[in-house]
Parts: sequence; structure tokens; C-alpha cells
Amino acid sequence: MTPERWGRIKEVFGAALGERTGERSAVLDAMCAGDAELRAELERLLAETSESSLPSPVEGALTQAGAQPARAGQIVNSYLILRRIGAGGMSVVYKALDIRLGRPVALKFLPSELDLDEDARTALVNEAKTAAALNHPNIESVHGMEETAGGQLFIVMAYYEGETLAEKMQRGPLPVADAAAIAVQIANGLAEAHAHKVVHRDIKPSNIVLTRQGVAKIVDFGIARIIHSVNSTRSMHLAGTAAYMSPEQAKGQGLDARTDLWSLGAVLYEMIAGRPPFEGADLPAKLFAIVNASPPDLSREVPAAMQKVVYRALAKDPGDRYQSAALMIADLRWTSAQTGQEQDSTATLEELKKHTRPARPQGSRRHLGWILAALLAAVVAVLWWILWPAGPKPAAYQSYLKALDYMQRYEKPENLDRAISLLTESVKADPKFALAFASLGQACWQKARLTADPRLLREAETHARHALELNGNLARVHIVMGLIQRSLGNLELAEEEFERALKMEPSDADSLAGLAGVYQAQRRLKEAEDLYRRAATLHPESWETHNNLGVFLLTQNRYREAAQQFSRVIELAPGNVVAYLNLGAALMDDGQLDEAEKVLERAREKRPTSYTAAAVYTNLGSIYGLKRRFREAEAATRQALKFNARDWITWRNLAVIERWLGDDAAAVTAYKSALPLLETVAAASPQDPALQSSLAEIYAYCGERVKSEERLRTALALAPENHTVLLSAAKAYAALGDRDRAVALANDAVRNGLTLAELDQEPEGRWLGRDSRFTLPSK
Amino acid sequence: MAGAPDDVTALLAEINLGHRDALTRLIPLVYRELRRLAGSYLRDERIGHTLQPTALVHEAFLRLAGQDRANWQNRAQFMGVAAQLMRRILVDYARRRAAGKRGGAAVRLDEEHFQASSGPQSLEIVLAVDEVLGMLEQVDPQQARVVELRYFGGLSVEETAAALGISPRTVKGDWALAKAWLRTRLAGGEPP
Repeated sequence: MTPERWGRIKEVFGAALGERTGERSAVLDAMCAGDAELRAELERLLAETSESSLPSPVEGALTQAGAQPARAGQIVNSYLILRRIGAGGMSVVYKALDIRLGRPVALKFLPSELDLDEDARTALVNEAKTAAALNHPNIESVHGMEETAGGQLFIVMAYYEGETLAEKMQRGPLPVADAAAIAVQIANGLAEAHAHKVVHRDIKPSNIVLTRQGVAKIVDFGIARIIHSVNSTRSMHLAGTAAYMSPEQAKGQGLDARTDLWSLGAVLYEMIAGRPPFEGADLPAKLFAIVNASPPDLSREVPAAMQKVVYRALAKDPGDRYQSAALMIADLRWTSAQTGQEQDSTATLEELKKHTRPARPQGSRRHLGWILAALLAAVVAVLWWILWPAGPKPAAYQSYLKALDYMQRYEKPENLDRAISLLTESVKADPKFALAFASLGQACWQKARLTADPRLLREAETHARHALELNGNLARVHIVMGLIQRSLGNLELAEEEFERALKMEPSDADSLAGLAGVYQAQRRLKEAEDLYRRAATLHPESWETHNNLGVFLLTQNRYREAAQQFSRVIELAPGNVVAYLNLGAALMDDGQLDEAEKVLERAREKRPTSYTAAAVYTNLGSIYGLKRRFREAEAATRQALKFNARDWITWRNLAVIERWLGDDAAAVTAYKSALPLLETVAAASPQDPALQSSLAEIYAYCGERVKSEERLRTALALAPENHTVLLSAAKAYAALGDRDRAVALANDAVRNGLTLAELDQEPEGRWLGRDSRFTLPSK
Repeated sequence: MAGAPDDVTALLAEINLGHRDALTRLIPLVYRELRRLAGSYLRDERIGHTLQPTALVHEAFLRLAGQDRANWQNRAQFMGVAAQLMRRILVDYARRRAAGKRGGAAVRLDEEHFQASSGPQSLEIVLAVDEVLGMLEQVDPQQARVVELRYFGGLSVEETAAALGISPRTVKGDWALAKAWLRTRLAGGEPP
């Protein structure tokens, strides 16, 4: 562009702009004569004139620097933002879904780095790497650090279902033993971090997440430090944390690992006392108290040994505190091992409490005392391992925690196998570890459900019984026993177990679901529904509670309501194939076959693991069958059997499809494969009429008249008015050649609610429809 | 700090008297102040806050020059300097952002939540305006000043006219052409 050319453009533009739109063409004709390029340029320019102003450059930068780094429903890199779960003074945390891996994550957006140069940015990323390198069950997993398209840094972390310690403490102080157990877990995490030279600096109840399995996770590791170093001027944000800040922190002095132990002491104090050790009306008052005041005495009911741990942790001078997390763990364990014994090994309570007062110049005697105390603590720790094996041993505990992780992903059977072998190791390392026995029972129970193997169920019961003998005061142990008893059909026993667990933990989702399941099996449907709903209301963000409610509604033939719940599950856990599977089932039962097919095909695209894949293909096969696409139905069902050949329902479906296809020999082969599987399942639940009648039906098709009739009597005695059972019975008699009875039972089924659609799914419908004695269901 | 009001007022007076080196002493003071203000605004977590460059420039002026001693001519002078500096700050910022760009941009899934996409767009505009300014500085320096004051300084047509000693009508015309030029470039036309 030359000045002359630009001058010309400007001249014509000014002249044309002065005219009304209709007149402009004439101006251009006159002024651009012979210069087509100029004319084209001006036409483009005139088309772009508008009164509206450009967006403010500062505004754009502001949006980018972003108070709101992300919004629900947005996709940032490969994460779907689900909702905001928290905001600290300097960062915003979102729950998101990792679309590639299909797992929930927490994304923490760091403050805008407007003033960060490359060096500072690199330092920040390195810090995050250090935090990510910490791999410990009591430390939140940091997956990494990423950057948005807009250049905003964020940290990707594991997302945990559960509550923060702050939330738990809002319900009141904790029993000393529970407080000690949580403190040991936090200290375990700190020990690992400190070993890697990482100091947390911001240990506080809201930075401790308690997962539903009762595992404490320290969150925000390293990040506190990153932010402090980047943004050291924004000190006012410290206000919220002040109560757990160490004296050296309050004074702005150098910090080391011992600052975390002080903060842990403050948290421990609050767990026991129900209030933080240092309070003040405002920030300066709090800081003054931390530096100068002694914490109020703990109640006399708190065991002296525990008081000592708290006071030692809260010593003003870092030199008077525990020098390492390991020493604090040793004392905490000793505390919980000591039941009422007042054995004094270190210093007197008064001596320790003294250190919580500000240090005054003293001679070196105090330090000598400290060294002696530290030595004694170490000796005690060693002795404790030998003499008081009440707490789980470290090796046992490690494999226990790892196993819990695997059990959370139980849909993969190999994960359950891993969990079982880890838990077996754990109970071998510590044969008195009740929770590990309970979890072993639970893992066996889960596997029994997946594989329909009744031997595993009895093994599960043995482990759970052992756990109860070791410790009957743990809600978890009762829940596991309840689940197992329920599966064994011992409903009263199961009910007792769940009720005991609920007395210990009234809002526990697993106990609520467990008890609801018992009520459901006892046909106390209203009570069951109330409990399922209560669980979903108390834990609205847990996909499991909605899934349980959905499955319940599905069994009550309330397909639409069930579909709503499953849609919510998909919203909460979009990577979860089970949610699609269940939604597909609800739609299928609701007769929305096209929709169901779509949803199940989505499920198939999600590459489900074997047992889930088997269910997906089984259901797809059912849909194809219902749509009379029997060849496809056969292929899908056989595919399902490749993934899992131990599900009698899939075999039964195959048999029905083969009968539709007219291949009775293939049908009988399939029934014969279903038979032993169904026999074991039905033996485990002898009170289930649907299982009994299905068994009768299959015996009949396999030509076993006596066994079939025996099961039919049982089924009809259990549920004389259930149309599914009645139809099964009709089919069985038909297969046994007793058409008269078959027609009578089919008529009974119609009277009890059998629909035309249901009948239409059965090959028997063909001849029944032609039999004059049979009354077709009205449409 | 060196940016006491007296210094700035004195420097502005000197600039008016034609002392060019006064400008070189003024620029770092204004730059630092603007950067500080911009930084604090950009880091602020106030949502739905409408912010114009003027707000920053005016605030910087009031802080540096002091309200009572500020006369109109000083102010116009200051605005001119400030607009240049705002350009530097914002273009630097946008470049750094653009350099950091990688991976997929935010995708809208939910109409209600949609807003954030104005961000990258605005930053693209900042860079595009800077580019147009570069071209204008070669072919029409006065028009370049108009755009700089209007866009980066956030000055109104009248303020811009007063600062440059030209008519508001000229400012309007220059600004309209610059905007149209910019829009044809942003709409995917060939580079200027």
C-alpha cells in the first residue's frame, strides 16, 4: 500500500460514505472509472461500515484473564466441564469429565498469569510436576498440568466422591479414635511429601477429602506453594486459612516440613474439640493468638496420650514439635492402641502443654529434654509395632488402599481379581485387620454377582464373618455382611446388618441402598422407594444413588421415571457404560425400541469391558429380536456369549431367537447351556419366583418333566398372581405337551396384566393366538 | 516511587514547551502505572464488569498527574502517551496469549453458558488493529494516531479531535474507514 493509493481509497470512501446507500454506486462509478480493483476494494469496505464499535481490547483481555476460566458444559482441551465445585481465594475448581479416558477429574484453574514471564511459568510447571510425582494413597493424585487455548494454566487432578473433613466436622466433633485414624492418614501423606521435600503449607480441614471408603486424601498439594510464590502480595486471602497457620507462617518466617505438622495438630485439635485451637474475631486477632496464646485445654475425657500428641504438634517452636510425620504417626498409633492405659513414655502432659505457649529464652536443657523425648518416642514406636499390633500394619494398609482403588472400578473383572489378591496379601500381613477382611468379602461378593458363582458368595460370607468377629463396631463391615446375606436370600439377617450400619452412619449411601434392596426383596416397595429416594437426595452427585433408584423403578415397570434417573446418571458419569446400558433397558421396556437401539449402540461405541459388553450385546440382541430382525439378534446374542458365557439370560435369549428362526435343535442346545447356570443362580435365591418359573420353563424345554413340575409348584406358590410367572408356567406346560393347562395359565396371566406386547415377544404367542380357548389381552 | 504527581505534571509541562526528552522520562512512569492498573483489573475477579481503556487511562492520569493541577492540554497530551502505552501493553499481552495457544478451543455446548468465546476474538482484534496501525503509520500517520487514541486510548471522537487538533468530522471519517478496513481483513480477506 502506498500513501497515494491509500489517499485515493480514503477520498472515495469519504465521498461515498456521505451519500445514502442507494446513491453510493453512482459515486463509485464516477470516482473509480477504469480502476476495477479500487472499486472492488471500496465495495468491500462500504459493505463493512457499521456504527457499532469494536469490542474493547481491555474487555477481551479481561475475559481471557478470566475470572471465569470455564463454564459448565464447555469443553476445555479434552475435558467436559460439569460444574464448579469450589473456589479458593486464588483458584477455581471444576468437576469435569476427561473425554478421552472417560473418567471424572477435578480441574483447578490457577490465577491468571498476566504478569508471569517465561521463567516464572516454567517454575510453576515444575512445581506442578513435583506435586504430580507424589504417589501415595493419602495424597490426591495430580494427573498433570495443562494450558487452555487462551493460555490459562490448570491442574488436572483425580476427582473423589466424598466430603471434606471440614464438611464432616460441621456435624460435630469426632470420636477420638476416628480423629486419630484420620490424623494418621494425613500424617502418612505428609510423610511421603516431606520425603520428596514438598511442604504443603496449607493443611486445613477443607483440604482433606474423605472418600466414601473412608480414605483421607490431602488435596491441593504443592499448589498452595506455587500460588504463594506467584502471588505473594495477595495476603488477604490467608484470612480463611489463618486458624491452621503455624506460628512461623503467621510471622512470615521461613517454613519447613514442621509447619505442616503444626497445621495437622490444629486440625486434630479441631476434630476432637469441635473448634479450632486458635480463634479471633479477625485476621490480626487470629494471628496474634497463634503466635502468643496457648490453646484452650482439651476436655478431660480426651485420653492423656492423645492430648500429648496434640500439644506436641502445636508447640510454638518448631524444635519442640514432632520433627517428622513418622514420629507423629508412631505416637498417634500408640494412642489408639492404648485403651485407657495411662502409660507415660515421653513427657508429662503439663510439660508438653508448656510448649504450646510462646517460647521464652531458656537454657539448652529444654533441647536436651526434646532429644530425649524424641529418642523415647522412637523406642516406643518400635515397641508398638511389636507389642500392640492393633492398628493395621503398614504393608497391610498399603495393599488395602490399593485394593480399594481397584474395587471402585469393579466393572472390570480383572480389577476385582487384583483387589482380591491385594486384600489376601493385606490380611496375611495383618490377620487382625477387620476392614481388609470386610473388603475381601465385598470383592468376592462383587465377583460372585458378576460371575454368578455361588461358591464365591459363601467365601465372601466367611470373610465378612471374620471381619465382624475382629471388629463389630465398623459400619462398613455390617454393610458388607448385609450385602452378602441379601444375595444369599437371608433377608432378615441382611436387614439387621444394614440397620446396624445405619445406626452408626445414618446417611451412608451403601447402607441406604442395601436396606432398600432388602425391602424390595420383601415386597415392602413403598419403604424401598423411600430409601432409594432418600439416598439420591442425600447424595445428589453420586451416580450410584440415581442408578439404584432407576433400577428399582425399572423393576416396578415405571420405565419413564427410570429413564429419567438413568439420564441423570449419564449426566453425572458420562463415561459409564452401565448408565447407557440401563437407559437402553428402560427405553426397551417402554417400547421405545428405536431410541433404545440408539442408546445401546452408543454404549457399544464406548468399548465396554467384557461383562458390560456382554450385557450390551444381550440387550441389543433383545431389541433386534423384538424388531423381528432375528438374524441380527442371533449374531448380537452370540457376540454377547463370547464376552460372557456364564449368563443364563443370554443363553435363554439365544434359545428363544433360535425358536423364532425355527431351529429347535439349536434352541435346545442353548437351553441346555442355560440350565446349569440358572440352577446355581436359583439355588442361591430359592425364594425368587421368577427364577423358579424360568427354571421350570427351561427344564420343560429340555424334556425334564418331573423337575419342571416341581419348580412350577414352587413358583406358583410364591407368586400366584404374577403374570410373568404365570406366562412362564404356561410356556412350560406347553413344552411338556399339556396344552390345556398352558391355555388356562396363559388366561390367568392375561387376567393378571399380561399385555399384548409381552405376548407378542413369545414364540408361543403364535399358537396361543390361534387357540379359541385363549382370550387375547386387550390392546 | 518516582511517579509522584509533581514529576508527571512537571514533565507534561516540559513536553508542552517542546522538551522531547521529558517524554522519554514520562513514558516509563505512565507505562508502569498503566501496567499496574491493567494488571490489577485483569486479575480482578469481578464478573460482568464493564471496562474501557479510558477508565484505565483516566485513572492512571489522575493518579500520576493529580486532579487539581490537571489542565485540559496536559490531559490530551497524557492521553496520547497513554494510548500508545496501552497499545504496547495490550498487544504484548495478546501476543503472549496467542503464542500460548494450542489444542482445541472452547466449544460451546450450552447456549446459556456461552460467553467466553468473545475472549479470543477480542484478542485477535487487538493484534489485527495493531497490524492495521502498522500499515497506517506508513501511509497516513495522522489516521494511525486517530485509531490508536480511539481504540487503545478509549478516547471519544471529541477527545480524539481535541488531542490531535483536528475536526471531529475528520476523526469520524478516519475511524469509520479504519474500522471497515479492519473488518474486511478480519472477515478473511487478503492481508492489508
